[in-house]
Amino acid sequence: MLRVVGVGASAGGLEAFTEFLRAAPTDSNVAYILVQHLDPTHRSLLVELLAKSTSLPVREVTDQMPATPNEVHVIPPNCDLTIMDGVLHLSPREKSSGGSRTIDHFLRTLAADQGDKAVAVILSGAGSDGSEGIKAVKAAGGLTLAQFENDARYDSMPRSAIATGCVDFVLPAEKMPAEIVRTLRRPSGAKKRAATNARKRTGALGKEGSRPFGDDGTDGVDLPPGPADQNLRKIFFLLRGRTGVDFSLYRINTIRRRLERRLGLAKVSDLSEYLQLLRRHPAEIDALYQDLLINVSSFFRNPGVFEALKKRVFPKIVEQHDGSDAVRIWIAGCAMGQEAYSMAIAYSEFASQSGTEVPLQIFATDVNSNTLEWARAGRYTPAQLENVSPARLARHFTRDGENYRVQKVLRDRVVFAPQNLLSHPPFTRLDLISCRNVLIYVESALQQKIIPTFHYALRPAGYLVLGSSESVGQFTNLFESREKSNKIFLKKPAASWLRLARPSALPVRTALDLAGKEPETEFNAHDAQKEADRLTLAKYVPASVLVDETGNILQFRGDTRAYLDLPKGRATFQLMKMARSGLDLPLTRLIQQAKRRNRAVRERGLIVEGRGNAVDLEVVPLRNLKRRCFLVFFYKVDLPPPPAEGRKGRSTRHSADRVAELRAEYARAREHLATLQEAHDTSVEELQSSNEEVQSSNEELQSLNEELETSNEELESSNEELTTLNEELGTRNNELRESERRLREQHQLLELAPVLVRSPKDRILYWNRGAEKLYGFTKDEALGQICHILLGTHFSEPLEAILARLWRDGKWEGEVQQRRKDGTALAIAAQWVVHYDDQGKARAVLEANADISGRKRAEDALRASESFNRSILDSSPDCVCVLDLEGRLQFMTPEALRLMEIEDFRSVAGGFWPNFWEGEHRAAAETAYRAALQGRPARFQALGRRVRGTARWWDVAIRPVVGAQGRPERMLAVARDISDAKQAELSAADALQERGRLYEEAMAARAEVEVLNQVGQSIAAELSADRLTATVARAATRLSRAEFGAFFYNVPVADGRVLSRVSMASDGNGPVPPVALPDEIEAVTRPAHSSSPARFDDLGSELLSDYGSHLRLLANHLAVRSCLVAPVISRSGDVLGALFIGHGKPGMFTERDERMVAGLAAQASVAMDNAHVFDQLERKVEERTERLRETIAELQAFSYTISHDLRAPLRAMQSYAQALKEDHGAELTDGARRYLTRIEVAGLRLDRLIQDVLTYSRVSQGSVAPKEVDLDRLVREIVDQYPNLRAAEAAVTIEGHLPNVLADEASATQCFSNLLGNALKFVPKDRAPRVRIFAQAREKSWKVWIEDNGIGISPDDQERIFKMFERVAADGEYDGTGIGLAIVRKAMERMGGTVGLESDLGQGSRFWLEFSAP
Amino acid sequence: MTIIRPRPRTLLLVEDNEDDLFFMRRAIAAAGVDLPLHVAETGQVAIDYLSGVNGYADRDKHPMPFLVFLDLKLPQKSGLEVLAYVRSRPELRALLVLILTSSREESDVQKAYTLGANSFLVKPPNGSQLNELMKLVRAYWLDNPQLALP
Repeated sequence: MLRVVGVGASAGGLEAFTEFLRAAPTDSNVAYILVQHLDPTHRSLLVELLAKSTSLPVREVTDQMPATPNEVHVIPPNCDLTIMDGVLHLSPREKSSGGSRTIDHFLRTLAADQGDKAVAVILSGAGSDGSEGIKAVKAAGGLTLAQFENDARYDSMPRSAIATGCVDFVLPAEKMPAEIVRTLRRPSGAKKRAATNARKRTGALGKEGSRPFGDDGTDGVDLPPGPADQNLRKIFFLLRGRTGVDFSLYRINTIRRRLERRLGLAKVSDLSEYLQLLRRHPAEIDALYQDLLINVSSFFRNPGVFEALKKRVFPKIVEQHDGSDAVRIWIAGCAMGQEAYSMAIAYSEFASQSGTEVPLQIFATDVNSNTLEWARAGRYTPAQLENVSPARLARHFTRDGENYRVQKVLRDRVVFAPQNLLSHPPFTRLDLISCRNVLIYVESALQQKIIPTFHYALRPAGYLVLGSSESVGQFTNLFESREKSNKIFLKKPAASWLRLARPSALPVRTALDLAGKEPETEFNAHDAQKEADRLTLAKYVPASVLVDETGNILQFRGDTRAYLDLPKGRATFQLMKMARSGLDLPLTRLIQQAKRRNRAVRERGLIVEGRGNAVDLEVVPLRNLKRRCFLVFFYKVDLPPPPAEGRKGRSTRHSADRVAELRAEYARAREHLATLQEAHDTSVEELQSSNEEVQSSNEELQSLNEELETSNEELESSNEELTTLNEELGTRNNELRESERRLREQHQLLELAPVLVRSPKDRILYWNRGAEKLYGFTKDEALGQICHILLGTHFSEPLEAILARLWRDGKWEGEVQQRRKDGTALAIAAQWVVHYDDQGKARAVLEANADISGRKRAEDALRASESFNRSILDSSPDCVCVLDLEGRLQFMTPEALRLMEIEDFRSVAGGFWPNFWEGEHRAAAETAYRAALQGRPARFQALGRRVRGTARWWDVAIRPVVGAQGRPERMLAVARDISDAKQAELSAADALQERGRLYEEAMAARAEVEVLNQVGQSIAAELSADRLTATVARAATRLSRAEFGAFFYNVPVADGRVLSRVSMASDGNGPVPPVALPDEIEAVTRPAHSSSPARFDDLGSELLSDYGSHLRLLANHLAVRSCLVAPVISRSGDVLGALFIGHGKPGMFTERDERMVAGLAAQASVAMDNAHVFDQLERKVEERTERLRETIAELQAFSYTISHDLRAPLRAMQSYAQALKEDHGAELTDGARRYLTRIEVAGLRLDRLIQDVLTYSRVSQGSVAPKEVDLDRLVREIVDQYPNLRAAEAAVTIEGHLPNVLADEASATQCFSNLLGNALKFVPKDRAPRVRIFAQAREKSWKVWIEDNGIGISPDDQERIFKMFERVAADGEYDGTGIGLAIVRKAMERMGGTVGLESDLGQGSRFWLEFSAP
Repeated sequence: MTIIRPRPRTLLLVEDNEDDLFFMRRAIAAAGVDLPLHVAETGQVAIDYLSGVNGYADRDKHPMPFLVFLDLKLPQKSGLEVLAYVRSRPELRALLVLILTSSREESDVQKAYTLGANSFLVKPPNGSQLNELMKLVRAYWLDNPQLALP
């Protein structure tokens, strides 16, 4: 199956990718897609560069190119790459304001297209591109790899990929292909490994959760700068309309990032278009809503917080609790519920440690009701649970398929509810609120509303937990920090208030409208009426000033000089500063009062110091204005003349007046103080509000910083593109240098050869150093000369013809004669090439001339020498031939032709020299010819045919003719007729040879007999057909000196089919194991189906022309020319198989061989018959054993069912008898009641009988593996636990310490309790039972005795009692089923022990159990 | 910190033998257990009852039992199969299941506990012993203040 590996790389990526490709196997069925950040304006050399480092084909992607396995596809510059249905698509790259996200773009489509087959690799690069792609691929179940950070030239891209926690493997680039291929081969194991890998790594990094907005999908969308944008506003409206959640106060940067992402996904370019989309498709609103809400959470985020809660917060909370109510915790913004469950787990751990009984109630809320369903279900994947320790997992979760589910106990503790922190009323009387990482997503104005809400919702001394980067802001009056690092706050006792009417930026349309109209001027109508009003005012209205809230004078009306003065110092219109002394304090007071009471206030009779007049002051607040303003009137008052001062009564009157005056003064002073206090409060408030402003500008600075970071990233990515470019330039530079060097070399080379350029009119234009050297003319001498005259060129054909060809073809090659400067003649191989200008007109002729004078001379000399040699050869009286290296005749001297009676040697025997020789001599000729081929002269004597006449003996010498390179180029064969001499020699040799042959035959026969004997012995006892046939085939081959031997035979298999197999003897390829017989050999084995052996002397001439001249039985085995086949026939006359031997040469087998092979075949048939019979017997035994096993199993099942089903009616019988007695006892006669009792007793006995039968059958089943058992402990335990044995009258003694023995504990217990039971039971009623237990050591065993004082057993019965249902005591006298001892015997047998007894009637019994010693 | 919630205290008896059924009713009454008792005669009926299908959907009429007495030898589906089914359903996993059977067969005991039986009781040979057994059951499973239940 095709796998697509998307490789993302950037700066420094070329090096990493080269390493990666070097290690990539060429046959892994993987297609590699390289996505790199490339300079958009520049042609990329990537393909050429990469092609050098791998044997995989490297191609630049073209649109619609399928991803081909074992190829490397490289993204072209300035393009976005996507993949769909395994086909790559190119699109022009979106002009992007931010950094390039080409890798993310491709990997996302890869994940969507390939699903869990996708593989993503992030190599060196700057920036964070690829991280989102990695997430997508991981989410689709694909494999993700990132380059080991320390190996990467630029590590920020791999680092950012690893930080997502979605990377399966972090490896050096060169190790990746192996891992990919390994993982693809063994998907399950590797995935597991990958998963644990990822988990480990995340743990090691200790990263908490993931950045909520990891992706900066800035795909060229130009978003408006602020929330005032109408489109954004409308989007908020749509959102609020559909979901009820107002996002206008959420952080605008966050919202914009999310919006950009949605825009990118929806493929629209601006907000207005997106708005249209939202209106048409409400589903998109939902999608946007889900995107806007931040559902990132994890279990035990910031584990330190939970530890702190358990150690320091929960104890406090519980301590304060009166126990009447549960501990109430509110998780605000619970997302998928992890936080809520973590809290519940933490509390339950705390509760179990401290033993508190105060129950827990958690309210978990989130504005997103979709995630609440998830949270409520409490199902999490192992990946989501990676922060949960195995102990917690085991304790609080149950497995649910591949996932885990929070246990119900915990789920019951948590109530999930949708709640909007910003508009819904909060929960109350809470002990703890956890609102972590929620505030960071909302604007600070909103944060300021939320914190007081929390304060309101908490009980006194309740706790608030915030996220690590959040704070209570200005509300230090409401909360005090308890643990700074964990962000745990304690509620301060302060008045709480709750404002449910939430501020929103949305319904402020009116405010906006106002703001829009604001610039309209206030005083623009200059009409007469206004002017008249103004005049009237100035004339009749008391002097007054218009001031704002802070006392700043906005307007002076009338003459105020009497009351106001210009202060010293800085210019100001502050009323208090301008007021004349004596008025300032009252003014301050009055304005405050007016402000507070919101109505006019007046004070009379104030003295303006230093002016001597009095004034009434009135301050009137103006209503219905945007700003609060006050009008201050100064009413002039005429002072009454100072009263006449009489001495008389002065003191009393005076003092009374004074008191009144002082009182008034005092009252005023008090009022003034109050006013001051108020003013002070106001300035504190102002301070707070400016503090807020500072905070908000801080926020702005932070967002600015964020933007700066973004542009920094952009810079980084362009930097990285530059680096890539630089890399390419460096490589290209190297290539340039290389080609320059090559050019220089070529130039130098060119200088060696004579080259000249002449004009079409033959004037020499260029003359190089080679030409100087060849012709002797210097450059200066040659330039401008007429070429052919200067060099005295002599052409071998008319110049016109040459020129005609030159102009027609544009070039000419040929040989000419020229002269050197010193007059010596030169043979020149000339090459002329016409050089054309742009218009196609001939401009010059390039001549490259080579001096071939030397070669010419050598050729002449050679020609002369050859003719000399030929004449020598021709004069030889022998048959002289020249052969080429293939052995074909090239030349024969005339004498040779005559001797061989040949007219044209090419017509004879295909001209192939070895064919001249007959039969075995042909081999000698070939050997000699081969020797000569290898450079050694050879000589032989052979019988050779003449074409017309008889064959004659020749003495032949053949020798190589060695050429210039020292290798034979052809061969010289000289043959001399030696027929007469040879004839005489042969007749003498024949006689000698005949004697030797007879002796050898005798010896061979003896050896054969021995071998045959051995074979007979070895196969007589052989049962395996394979081994048997192999032995016979080997013997037959050896004895007949065959090159190949095979034994074809039939093996009957289970279902009645017959399998044909063949055992082969070595044919030079080593021993051969038996193999199944190929079908096509049937043709050869067919003759074997007769009853007698068949011999083929030459398969080439007879039989089977289909197989050519040789027969190859099996591929890779020897081709045979002659062969011998003997059938192997059983006593019953069936053909069991055939013995086959063969030889590569014809006529190798004799009649003797035939007899010998037939004998072997006969032996083999007997042995095979034996083996066959044995085989059948064995199978029968197996079948019977199997049947027996089945029967046993059936019997066991039968006994189980019977015993089981028997008990049910039995129980019914007994129970009905009892019920009858209980319910109707009164109506029954004594007799009837007695019968009922008998039914019951009978039932009980039958039940025990059934149980005993059951036990017996269980004991009979199978065998046990005895282990070492401590008998002493076992027996003592039985005695302690067996109720009858503890009866007061019973005396059981164990003598000494019982040994350890080999036994099965359960079976041994059964035996002892049965025997002890018997010992107590079979005792006469008047005797107290006494039992003695003791052990006796034997050689390799222990005998354990159980001696009683019971009724005893007569020797006659002693064997019988161990049988089923055998009882010795009379029925009714002693209770029992008659199975107990049978069980003991069976159990002992099963453990490999024995049981027996010694007893006499009336004397008591001594039972013994014999166990093996351990 | 136990939270007491109302619990449907209904017993389900899975038993095909009429006699055993009779004696079980008798024993339960004799032990003074005053809880509604529902009966399923076959393993399949028991499964249907517990999963609320095939006429058992109405939980008012066929309330979810709090405890099940389960015989092993049943027609159609065996008791062990019923047990396996119950433990395979997440909503039934915590159901109390007491095996009550005439077999003491080792393999049955092993399998029942492996499959998650809460207890394995062997039917006594007669009615009076069954009454005693039911008293024990009542004392342990119904009246035991120390017993924590899911």
